[in-house]
Amino acid sequence: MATLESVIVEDVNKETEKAIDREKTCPLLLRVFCSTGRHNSLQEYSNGSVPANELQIYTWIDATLKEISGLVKEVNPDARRHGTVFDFSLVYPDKFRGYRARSVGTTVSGQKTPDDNKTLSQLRFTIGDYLDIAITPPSRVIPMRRPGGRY
Amino acid sequence: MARPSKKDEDRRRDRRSSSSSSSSSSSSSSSSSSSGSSSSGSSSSSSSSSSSSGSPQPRRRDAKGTERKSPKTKSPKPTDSAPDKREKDRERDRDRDRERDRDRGDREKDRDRGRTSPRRASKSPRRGRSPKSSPAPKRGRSRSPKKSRSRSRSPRKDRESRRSPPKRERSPTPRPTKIHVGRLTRNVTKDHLQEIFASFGTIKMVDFGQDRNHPHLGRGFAYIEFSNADEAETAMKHMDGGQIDGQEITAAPVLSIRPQVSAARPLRRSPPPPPRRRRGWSPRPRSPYRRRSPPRARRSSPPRRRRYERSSSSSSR
Repeated sequence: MATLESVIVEDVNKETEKAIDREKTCPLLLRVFCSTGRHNSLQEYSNGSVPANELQIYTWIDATLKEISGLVKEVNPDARRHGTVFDFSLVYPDKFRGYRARSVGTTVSGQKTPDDNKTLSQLRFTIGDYLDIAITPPSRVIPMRRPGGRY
Repeated sequence: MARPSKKDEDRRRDRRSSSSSSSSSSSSSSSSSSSGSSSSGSSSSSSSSSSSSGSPQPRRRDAKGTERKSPKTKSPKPTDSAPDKREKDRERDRDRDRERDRDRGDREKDRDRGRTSPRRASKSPRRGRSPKSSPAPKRGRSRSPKKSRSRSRSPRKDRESRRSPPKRERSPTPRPTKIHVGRLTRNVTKDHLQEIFASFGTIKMVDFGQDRNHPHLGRGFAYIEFSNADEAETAMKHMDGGQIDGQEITAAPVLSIRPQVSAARPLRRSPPPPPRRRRGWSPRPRSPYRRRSPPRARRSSPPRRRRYERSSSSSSR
């Protein structure tokens, strides 16, 4: 369906870099793969296969990690609990037969983190990259954070 | 001096109107039989060419005259079919050619005409200068004054006729039905392109560049061939600069038509050599090693020199 939209939107402006008019700019397909407590292994991305739990998001290049985590929360009720940690990493094909992952930031539901306002373009996201999110429920996170003394 | 230049022009023309010249030569061989057909052809030709060919002299010349007609008659037809855009580009080239031709002068043009009748006519005078045995030269000389008359009349016609022949030759090149689509994202698949571009017409073929190491992924471009040029044009109009998957794509015509593709192949062949080398690596790994060994020997030699130098320096010290 996105393809049809692109046909319609063809006359769009070119101000895609900084200010994106989401009414006029064609959204891109962001393929998100969530897993609980860990990242998907890169082997699951090889040979054209992808991890099972795929979430397809139509968004724009100026979307922030906070925004994306919000979309994930809509789908994944468990992730709405306060203190749930979203750890984002971009997965993209390397020059060889494999894939590479690059960790790009972390958000926590119910809290502000410095990575909240990072946009995909700031993360040097190129359309077609996968987004792998490790969703860690708060029960597991808390022991990790206790040493920090914030709780 | 003018004659050598004629030769050059002859060659050039022959290249341009290779088809016509070849046909003319064939017609000349069967001169008597072809005369009737050629006359019919002249009638079908454009007014300018027909009038020029209709000048009394060619008729007198029978076979040779008919030969001259034949290339002219062939040329005008394709010109009519030639698309306007290409004509503009061609006209530029033609203008250049015309300028050159004008510089050389109308007389030479007329002589050039003679070549189609031929090269025989052009050659025959040269040969004919000394040898009396060949009948052709005599005719050529006797006709030459007539030619001069025709030259005065013909030059305008010649220009027109010349403009048309290149059109005729190039006209068969069809407008591009194939377009190149670039800047595609990795999310876009062949099926997507098929779906999107099918809205502009029937798609003959989608050539989707696939990544070597990631065969399931695209390389960001594709060639799409439509059933006709109009569909390709509308597709380019609508999709060049349009967005697919949030990214602006490019859509450009693929100009390489089969003959040009063959011409482009040598360029493509030049890159392949590296692969040959690569292939060569496996069977010939030993020889390169052997080759590498001598440089080591050479390396060993300079140190000796250094030793000598040191010794000399030490001695000097």
